[in-house]
Amino acid sequence: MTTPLLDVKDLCVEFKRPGGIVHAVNGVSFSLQPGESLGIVGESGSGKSVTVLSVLGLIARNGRVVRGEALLDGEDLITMSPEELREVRGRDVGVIFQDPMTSLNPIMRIGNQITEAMLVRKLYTPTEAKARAIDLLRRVGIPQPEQRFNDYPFQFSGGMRQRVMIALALALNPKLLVADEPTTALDVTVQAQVLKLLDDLRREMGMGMIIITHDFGVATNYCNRINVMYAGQVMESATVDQLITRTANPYSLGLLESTMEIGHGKQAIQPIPGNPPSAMVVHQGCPFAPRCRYSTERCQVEKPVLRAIERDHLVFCHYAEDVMRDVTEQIHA
Amino acid sequence: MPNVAASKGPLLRVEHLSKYFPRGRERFAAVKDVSFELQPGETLGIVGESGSGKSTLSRCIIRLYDPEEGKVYFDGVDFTALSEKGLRRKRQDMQMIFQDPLASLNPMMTVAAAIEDPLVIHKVGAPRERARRVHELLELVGLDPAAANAFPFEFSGGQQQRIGIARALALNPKLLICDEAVSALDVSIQAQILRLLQDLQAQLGLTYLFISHNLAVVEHMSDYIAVMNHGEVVEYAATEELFRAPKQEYTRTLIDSVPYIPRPGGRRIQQPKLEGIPSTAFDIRPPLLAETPVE
Repeated sequence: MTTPLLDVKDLCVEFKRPGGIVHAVNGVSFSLQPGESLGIVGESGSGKSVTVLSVLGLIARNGRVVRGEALLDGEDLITMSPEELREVRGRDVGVIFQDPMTSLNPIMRIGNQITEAMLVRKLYTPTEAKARAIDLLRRVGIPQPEQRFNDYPFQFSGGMRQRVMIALALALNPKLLVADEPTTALDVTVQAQVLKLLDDLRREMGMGMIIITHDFGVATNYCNRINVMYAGQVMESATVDQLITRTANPYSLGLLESTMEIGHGKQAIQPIPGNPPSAMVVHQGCPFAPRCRYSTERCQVEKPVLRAIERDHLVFCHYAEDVMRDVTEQIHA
Repeated sequence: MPNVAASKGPLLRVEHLSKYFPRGRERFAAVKDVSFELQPGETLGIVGESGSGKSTLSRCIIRLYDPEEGKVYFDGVDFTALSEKGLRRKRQDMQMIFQDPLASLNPMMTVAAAIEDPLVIHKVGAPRERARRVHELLELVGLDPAAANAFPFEFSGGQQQRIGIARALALNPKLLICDEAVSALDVSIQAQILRLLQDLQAQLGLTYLFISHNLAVVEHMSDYIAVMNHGEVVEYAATEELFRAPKQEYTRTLIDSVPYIPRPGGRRIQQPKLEGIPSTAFDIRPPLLAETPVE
C-alpha cells in the first residue's frame, strides 16, 4: 500500500452565521493516491468545495475546521500556521477556480502573475522564470505565448483565461491540483478542451487531481474515483464503474437518474422529490431520509456510517446492499 | 385590430429574422436570417453557446427587441407589425420565463401579488376571482398556497422558478418562451422544474420555445431543435434525427463535447472523440460583420 498523497480523516467544518452555526462538513474521510484523479460530486451546499478548500485554509474567516486531520504527504495541514500553509499552497498544491476573471489580477500582465510565485520563492532567476512561464503558456494551449505573456486578463476569452489560470496553478510543479468547478462557466466545446488539457497535464506531470463538480458527466469521464456528497457527508465513494453499475446509495442513484444525457430523445424526466436540508440543522438520522424511497423509521433516528460493501466501495446507507441489488437487477433485466 | 382566428397552421412562424447591434463604428448581426415554424403543442429547442444569438432571437420574437429585418407571425397575427397597444394585448398569449427568477420578480411584492399582477394589468376578473386563480396557479406549479403571502427571497431557487412559471401562466398563454429557465438550478432541482414544464405542457397543451446552452436538457424537452452559431441557425431537425445523424460539423462537435456518463447500454450515439476537437476552433468571439453596410 502506497502512502496517500492526501489523507483526510473525520473532517468537520462549521461556519458562524448570524442565524446560528452552519454545519458544512460533517465527518468526511477520503484519501487520494499520487497520480490519482478524484471527483467530488454534489449539489450546492453539499460541502463539496468546503471539504477541500478548508484543509487548504481557503475558506472565509467565519469558518473553521472543528475536527479532523488532513495529511498531505504525511504532514497535517490542519495544524499548520497560516504561513506554513501558504508555502504549501504555492509549492505543493495548485488551485483552479470556476471564474478565472475574479481569480486573476485584472491590472497585472498575465506573464508577471505566473512568474510571481517563482520569483517570490527565489527558485528561478527572472530570465528563467519568464522562459518557464512562456513554456507553460504554450503547454496550456495559448497561441503566440511570447506576445500573450504581456497581455492583461481582459484581453483573453473565458476559455483562454482558464488556461492562463491553469498555467499559473502549475507554475511550481504541484503534487496536487485542485480544480473547483473548473469548467462550469465555460461553453461546452471549450469545456471539453479544458478538461482534456487538465487530464493530459495530470498524466504528464504525475499529479494527483481533485475535481470538484456538480456534473456527473465531467466526473465520470475525467476521474478514477468519485465521492458523492450530500449535506456535508460522503454518501458514496467508489470507482467510476462501481458508481454507475453498482450504485449503492439512494441519493447517488437519484442524482444519476436525474442527470440528463444526450442520445435518449424527448422523454419524461425522473426527479428526486423534495429539497436539500438546511445546513443549520443537525441530523439525528440520515440527512437524505426525508427524500429517500428506501428510507424506514430506522433512517430517521440512526445515522448510518460510511462502510465498505465491497473492495474500494464505501457507502453511507443502512440499505446499501438493497440499493445495489436493485440497480444490478435492473441493469441485467 | 381584431385577432385573426388561427385554428390551423403553426402557432409561431418566424421569417428571415435579423437583428443587428452596433459595435464600435460597425454593426454586427446577433441574429442572421432566421426562419422556422412551431406547431401548437410542440416544443422547439434552441441550443447554442454563449453569444450564438439564441436569447436575442427570443427577445425579438416577443418584441423586447425590434428586429431590423424579417417577420414574426404569432397565432395568425403579424406580431412584428403590431402597435404598442395591440402588442400588449397579444402578448398575453406569449409569456416568458427567465434564468434568474429572483431578478425577474419584484422583491417588494408578495408571491400572491406577483402572480396576480398580470391579471391586474390586463384587468382580468374581480379581486375574489383573481385570488382564486392565484391559489389555483400555486397548486398547479407545486407550491403550497399557504405561502402566498411570503416574499420571493424566502424561497429556494427552484421554488422561485415555480413562482416565475405561475406568473407566466396567469393569463393562460399559448406560447411559453423558456430562456435558460433551469440553468442556474442544481441538478436535482433542474430535473424537478423540467418535469413540471413537461407535465404542464401535457396538461394545458402549451407550446414551448425552449432555449438552453445544455444539449441534454434541450433534447429531453424538444420535438425539434435549432442549433445556433454566430447568429445563424446552422442546423434544424427533429430531435431524434439531430442526435442520431447531425449534418453539420458544428452540431457534431457540440454533441461530442458533452461528457457522457458511461452507463451500461448507455448513449446510443457515438462516443466523444476529444482528439478531434481543435484546441481553439470555437474559442473565439463572433466575427464582426465588416461587410455589412452601415446605415
